[in-house]
Amino acid sequence: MNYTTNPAKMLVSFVDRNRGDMLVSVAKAAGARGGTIAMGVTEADNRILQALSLADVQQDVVFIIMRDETRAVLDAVKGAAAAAPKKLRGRALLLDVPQVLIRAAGQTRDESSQEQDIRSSHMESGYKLLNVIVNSGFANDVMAAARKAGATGGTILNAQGTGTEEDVKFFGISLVPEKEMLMIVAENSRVKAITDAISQVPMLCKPGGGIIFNMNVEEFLILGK
Amino acid sequence: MKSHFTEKIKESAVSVVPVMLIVVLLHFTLTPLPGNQIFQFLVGGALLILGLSIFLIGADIGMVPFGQKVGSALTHKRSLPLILAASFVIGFAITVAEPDVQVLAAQVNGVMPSINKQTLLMMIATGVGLFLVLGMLRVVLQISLRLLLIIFYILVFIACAFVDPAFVGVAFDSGGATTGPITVPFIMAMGIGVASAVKRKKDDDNSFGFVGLASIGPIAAVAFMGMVSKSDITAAPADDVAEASKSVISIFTDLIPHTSQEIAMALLPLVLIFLVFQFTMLKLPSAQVKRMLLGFLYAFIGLIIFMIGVNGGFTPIGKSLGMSLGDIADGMALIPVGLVLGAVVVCAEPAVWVLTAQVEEVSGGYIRRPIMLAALSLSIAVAVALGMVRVITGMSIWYMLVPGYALALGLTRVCPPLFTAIAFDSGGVASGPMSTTFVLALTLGAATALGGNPVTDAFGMVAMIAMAPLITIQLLGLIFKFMEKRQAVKNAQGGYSS
Repeated sequence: MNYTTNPAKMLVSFVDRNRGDMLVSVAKAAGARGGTIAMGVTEADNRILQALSLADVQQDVVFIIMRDETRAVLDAVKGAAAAAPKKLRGRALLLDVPQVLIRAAGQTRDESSQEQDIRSSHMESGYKLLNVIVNSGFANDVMAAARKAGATGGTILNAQGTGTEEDVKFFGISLVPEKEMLMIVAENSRVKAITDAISQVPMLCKPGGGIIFNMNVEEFLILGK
Repeated sequence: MKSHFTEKIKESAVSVVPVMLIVVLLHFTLTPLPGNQIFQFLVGGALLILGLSIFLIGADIGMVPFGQKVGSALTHKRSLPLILAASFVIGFAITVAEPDVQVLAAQVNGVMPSINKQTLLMMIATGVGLFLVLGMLRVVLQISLRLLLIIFYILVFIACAFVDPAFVGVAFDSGGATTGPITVPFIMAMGIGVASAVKRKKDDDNSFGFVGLASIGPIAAVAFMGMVSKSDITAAPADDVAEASKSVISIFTDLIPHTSQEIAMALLPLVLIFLVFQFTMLKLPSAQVKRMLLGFLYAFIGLIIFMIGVNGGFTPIGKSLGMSLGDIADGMALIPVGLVLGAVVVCAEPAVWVLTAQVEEVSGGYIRRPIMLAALSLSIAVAVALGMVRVITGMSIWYMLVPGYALALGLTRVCPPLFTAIAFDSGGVASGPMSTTFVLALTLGAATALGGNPVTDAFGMVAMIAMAPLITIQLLGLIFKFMEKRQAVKNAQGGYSS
């Protein structure tokens, strides 16, 4: 099958629960074609609440893939957050996506026209996005270790693994391992210390315990207040 | 950032304040309450809000994650005998200790003295255990929930045909009453845990349906007991009316020892199950254990405050309110008041918040909480109003239950399976402590004022509340199905979908 892939950017935003829709509609108005919202949990930055296990905060994590509309979407999101700082608040990251394949019905625009423009804009915000995937129930431990090493916060998403799906059957139903994905944004200078600390968590010392991967953050936005 | 606690206080206030406003409004218009009862009611309301918030946090970090872990750990063990034995023991243990079930058993004993209280308690707990086993089997063997619901409800109705009509209401009440605020979040989470261990398929209905199945257990048990026992219905002894001589503060403080003991009893099996699972299967890191135990503690404290608020503030006022309303225009005022109260009271049910949160979570935000709450609100409004019609006219409960369940079971044919599962869970969830105390007290008061038989007239109210969501949530499912089709057509015509 013939297809072409194009370079693109991905905007990952962490906003209050049920505000993801608002962010997507702002992005759409600025030219984005859609977005995907996942439900995450983070912890408020308060030692006392954390000790009492009262610090959980529900979040929406929004993924938006953009091409030539990237600048316009970023400006629109910033503008919307400034206009409604209490509604649209959180963090947003811009990540580079070397290749994207989008099949959209009724596509009319010329796919290659803006390619140069996007490819040339490699940026450096001074932050990295650390992603940790572990067996379900252990993300809190990983977060605690990361916090000791200087991380300020992180968001946990529930997920299912697919790695060993073929092997594990039970009365004809396939069993899948439950996973948690933890996303932490950290300054470049702290990334090494945090990664070291996470890799020492007992769960991640075992083979198959989990994986850590870092991504470069091109732009880091603080939304609202 | 909004922290968990402020968020929950806000949610709880939003759900309890409307009930308070309506009662205050009634106090100043139709039915002035005697003495300082209105003050007592407001104190109760404040306790409700505080208790509900603390309980919900506890459910969030204690019962729910624990239930999920148990469900998924059991499934991953891949041993059918272990799964079945464990779910039976869990279902039995959490039901036998549930205070609601004890109260119910005492009530049934009051109506039919030939039924032994202990025997009935064992039967109900066995019923819940067996149906929890069925819930597990359903997922593992991929049996459709629809089929099970149809088979077992038909069996229950056949059994009920041989039982004294007065007893039918009690039987159906028991289904709603036994699934209390501690068992529901746990059983629901266990089902979600099982489903999360299983590879997802299209039209996934594995996550819900456990509570719905577990609610059949007690109905079947009570109906069966009614069938084998001699029919010797007597009027239940009237409950003692709240003493007006007590000061408002002592009304509440006097409830503390008894309430704490009841809730400790209900929570104890869960803590024991936790310890057994932690040392045999789960082996969670200590941070997680601490978090869950804190969760149990919050749920315990929250529920005590909540129940003291309900029993001290809401139940006595419900009864006075019902009696005064029953005196107005041959009880006709009961219908509109029931409609309005029903609409708001369901939002103050603790388990409703747990269910709607889980539905939002499992559906990835597809089925939003406000939509679920609106559908539940509508159904309970109609249920309470119809229940009041029954109190006024004294018509047989059969005329409500048979068409209602026929419609609910018929809808399973066309409704998306996920919504069917959520609907039958909602039935057990909506009939929580608010309906079994406040609404029931209101109904009993009304039945007394109208001079009917409180037992046959008022019982069955909980059954109505448990039945109505089966219909509305499935109708909601049909609306979703319709909207989805329209959306699909739109997408095919052009535009982007991920």
